Amino acid sequence: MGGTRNPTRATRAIHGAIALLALGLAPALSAEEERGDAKSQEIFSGPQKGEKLLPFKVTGVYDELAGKELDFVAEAGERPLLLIFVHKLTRPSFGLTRQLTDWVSARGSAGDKAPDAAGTARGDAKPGTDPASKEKAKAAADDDGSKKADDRGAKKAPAREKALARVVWLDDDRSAAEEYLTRARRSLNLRVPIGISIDGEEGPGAYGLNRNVTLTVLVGAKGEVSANFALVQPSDTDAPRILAEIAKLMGEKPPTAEEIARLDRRGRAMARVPDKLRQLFRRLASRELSEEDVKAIGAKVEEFVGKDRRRRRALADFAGRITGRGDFDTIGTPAARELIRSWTRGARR
Amino acid sequence: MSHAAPGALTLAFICIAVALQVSFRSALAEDAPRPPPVTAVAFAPGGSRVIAGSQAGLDVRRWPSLERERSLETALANVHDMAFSPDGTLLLVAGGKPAEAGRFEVRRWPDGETLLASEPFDDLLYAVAWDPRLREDGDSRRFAAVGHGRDAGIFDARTGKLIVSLEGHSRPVTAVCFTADGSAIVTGSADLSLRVWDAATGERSRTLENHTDAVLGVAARPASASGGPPVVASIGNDRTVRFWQPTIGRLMRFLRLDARPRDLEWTHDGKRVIVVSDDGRLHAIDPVTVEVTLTTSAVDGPALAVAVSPDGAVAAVGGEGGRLAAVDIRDP
Repeated sequence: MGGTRNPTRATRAIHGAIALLALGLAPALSAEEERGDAKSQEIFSGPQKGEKLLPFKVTGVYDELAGKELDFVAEAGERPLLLIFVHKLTRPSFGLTRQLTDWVSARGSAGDKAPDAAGTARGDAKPGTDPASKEKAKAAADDDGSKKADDRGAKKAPAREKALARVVWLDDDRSAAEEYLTRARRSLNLRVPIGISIDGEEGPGAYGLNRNVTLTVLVGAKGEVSANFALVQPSDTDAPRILAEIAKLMGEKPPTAEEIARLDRRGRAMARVPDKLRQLFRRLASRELSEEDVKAIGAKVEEFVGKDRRRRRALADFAGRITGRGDFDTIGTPAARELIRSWTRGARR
Repeated sequence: MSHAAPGALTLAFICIAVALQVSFRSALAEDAPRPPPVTAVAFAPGGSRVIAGSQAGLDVRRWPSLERERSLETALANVHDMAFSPDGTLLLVAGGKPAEAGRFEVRRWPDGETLLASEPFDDLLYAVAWDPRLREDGDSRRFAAVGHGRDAGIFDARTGKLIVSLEGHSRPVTAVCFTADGSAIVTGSADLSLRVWDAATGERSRTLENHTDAVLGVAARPASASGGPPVVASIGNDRTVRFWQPTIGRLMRFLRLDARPRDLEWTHDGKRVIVVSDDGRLHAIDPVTVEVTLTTSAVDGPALAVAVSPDGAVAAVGGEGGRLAAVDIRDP
């Protein structure tokens, strides 16, 4: 009895060890049980392959789409659609979202949007490998007169894309979501329209999204799902298998992980280009500028860059990327192109 | 003037007398006991009778006139659920007394005689469901019962004994159903989850965690619905009606209502789910499009229980004050 009331140091040590073991084992066993449960459970979110992609409404966030009610499924019509539902914003989830949307928007253009000095992903594709730019150049060669006339238009109709990538932000608090997306626009650096679900955090009821996943990615065409990805822990490694599905629908070669990473690096670099510089380049892209106009814009660029080393570097990078494009010869006037080339050389100064 | 004054006095006197009488009658009416709410409704086989369960006991009424035919005595202080066995020969009634006893009674139909009664749990039973299949001995009927004390189990209807305990919910278990093929049991709980159990062994196979508030009811799509894997509908405090493929753990789609749903039942063809809600309304929902094909006012005050007539044309809706209403549920 005395032993139990006044345990010896050795007994106390044994009791302590048992207690620690018990404390350590309990959560481990419970976690094991949960893992066993989870292992047997495939995760589902959203309509499955072969099921319908039903129309649903979102609210647009940026630029001319801000505040407008949009329906991405209706917009896609017969075209392939990559639809990304963002349940939770994490660095990997948004990294993947950007990779997927950048690739589709780079490959998706069948049209002739204004020479893309603003650096949309479409323009950043590797020269000569981008079927869209080839197509664009071919169109310019085939139909030179009308094409040029069309390009000269101050406001052209937006290009009809071959495939659409769209992002749906799921949030119960729409105004908070709008505020966040506006504030974070630059860092998110999305080049495709984003909409906020008007159905709140769980999205459209007919889609049966699983709020326990991080991203739900749907690939489909003609109003039917052809692939569904419910991602709990999204990462770059998911990009090739997802893009392989949309590439199949687009009749494109599926990209390799290296190609996706290269596009991603370019995209990130472009994100560092100041808006002011983009705007000035956009103006330089016009084919209707006189030499004086080009000089004036050039002066504004130089004035903006000044002696700031970071801006100077951004200018050189941006100019270098534009001159490296397969369709560079179709951008702006000869004087503008020469000016852009000079900024590329300036990088070496 | 001298003639008018007595006439006016008489009129005033009459008015005061009438007013006093009316207020006296209303006071009497207020003092009269208000019938308790109808908390469970079930159609008897054949559809010619409907049984309404409440704290007052079990009322057997003729359908569709709703005229009271007889009352069945019960030892249940509260009736929370009723279900007829698949062959229509037994009526299972469940409820009990809060924090004292969870009780079920197995009654013979149509005479209503109690064959078996048991109090397996220490708190209220909220829901019961019959196993749609006859088990190996061919004669044994099983049912599942769930209750407030996180209690859930499968029982033998002949002996009343607990065969398998379904353990895992962390809060009161509010709802239960068997899938139409009888292979699985789905329970719903205030712990926000639905759990799927192997009906033969009682082993938990899945946990479905999409409700954002307590689950209030579950109902399996009838076997008559053609093709596809089992589908279960659930309702919750989060005002949603959700459709699941429980055996693969998939939430198929959901719908959010304006008011909290209180009870649900599938039509017998499996093409619609009928849901009643706190605002006294009845909603018919297409499970494929999750569109509400019909919304109509059913009772004053909250609608607490619903049962669909065998022909699928009318629903019996129970509400407060002992109200039982027949509602046309044919699509407009």
